[in-house]
Amino acid sequence: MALDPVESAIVKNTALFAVLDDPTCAALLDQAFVSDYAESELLFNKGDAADRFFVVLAGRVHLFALTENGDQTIIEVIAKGESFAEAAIFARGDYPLNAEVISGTRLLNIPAKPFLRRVASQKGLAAQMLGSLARWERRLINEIADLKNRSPVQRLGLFLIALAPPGQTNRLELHLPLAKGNLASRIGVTPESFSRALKRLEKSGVSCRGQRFIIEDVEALRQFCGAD
Amino acid sequence: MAPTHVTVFSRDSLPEIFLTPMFAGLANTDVEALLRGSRVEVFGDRQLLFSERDEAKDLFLMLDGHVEIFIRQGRRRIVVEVAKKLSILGESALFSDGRHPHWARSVGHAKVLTIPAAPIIEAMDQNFDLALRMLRTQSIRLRGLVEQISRLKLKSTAQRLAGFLLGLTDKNEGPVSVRFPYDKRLAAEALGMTAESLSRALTRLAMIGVDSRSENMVFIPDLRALQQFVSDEGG
Repeated sequence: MALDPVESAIVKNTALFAVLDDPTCAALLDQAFVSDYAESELLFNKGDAADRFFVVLAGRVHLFALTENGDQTIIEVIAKGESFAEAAIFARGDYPLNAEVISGTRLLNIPAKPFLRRVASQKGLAAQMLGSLARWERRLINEIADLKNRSPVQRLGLFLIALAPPGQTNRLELHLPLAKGNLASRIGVTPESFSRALKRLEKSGVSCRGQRFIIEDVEALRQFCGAD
Repeated sequence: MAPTHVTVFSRDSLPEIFLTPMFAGLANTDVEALLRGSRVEVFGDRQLLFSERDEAKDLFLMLDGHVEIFIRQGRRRIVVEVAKKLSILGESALFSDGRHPHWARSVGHAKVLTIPAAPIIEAMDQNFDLALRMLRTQSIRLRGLVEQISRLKLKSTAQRLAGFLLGLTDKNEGPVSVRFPYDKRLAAEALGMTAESLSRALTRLAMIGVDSRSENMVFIPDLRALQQFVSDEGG
């Protein structure tokens, strides 16, 4: 398996692998391989035997269901740095949803059989993984509490940051995909507190004309909003 | 706080447990061994099942009612989620430092199967299948939390409320009436909004035909339309 150091770090920063040591990770990923997708394409169908799970190294994956008319309903969007389909692997069953990779995506494929064989044969490894998931759960719970505990100003800031390309730290111009009134309702504030929030964000270097936002310093805004 | 009512568990009375990923498809004898010493406990309104930092000795499989999971940040109490029937609580503590990372308190009432952890931990060493079940249960739980985070970041209050309403029915299409399973204030807290935002969100949903009625009932004329509303980029 050929992963560059950045990609290895991504894998080691997923819920399942976070507390495992390097030799254990290497053994678990012995048969893993990378796949790249220049165009969007179907990765698997609902009901296919779940023979591998995945870590998104770049890009994103949509998990979707099909309506009777054949329309897609996107159930989950899996972002860079997240793993998916591991629950299906542990069930030794089928994929419960369809998956589509978006163009420009790079996936680490981890075949189920050798992975599970390794987990079964190394004593204590399953418990260690459960420990890893438990630790991850705490992290997620804290993140949820942080999000729920934020002021409207911070929520607005976070929404803007979520639209910034990953790794962006300095000046950024954003064209919002929605009108300001919609943005207020999206972040859950009245139009009045939205205007107040915008005014307060100006002090943090955010200006806005119509649907165009200019963030002078993304990193500073990130800190102001208490984002990681 | 002590539960108001405790009975010894008997497997025959609880076919529900086989619906959870943890116990589905297990042989009766295995289940009996795993549930050794389990008891059914009934909690009234606002009784603590456990507190943060409490030593975790049991797992809790929810049989009925609701339990709010919350943590404290400074003086604020923040509801992370409200667990319902067939949720399993308390298992993550068993594999980390052995202490609960949050509070769990009944809402209205809660009936839980309290399962001593020791026989399960012991069995896991010998029984790889059981370890896989635990891994699966935890993976599903984490996926749910990750989803909640992305909804909090990117979905409007009306979309979050719509998603909550969709979760109250097993149906996928057509019209349906659902009822808020607990008071709207708690629903708002769990969804990360104020009670005022929740009523504004209900007004917003009324524009696509969702009708709030008396006694916390909500009529959804078209489930598909509501699903579409939740997955739309705008909102």
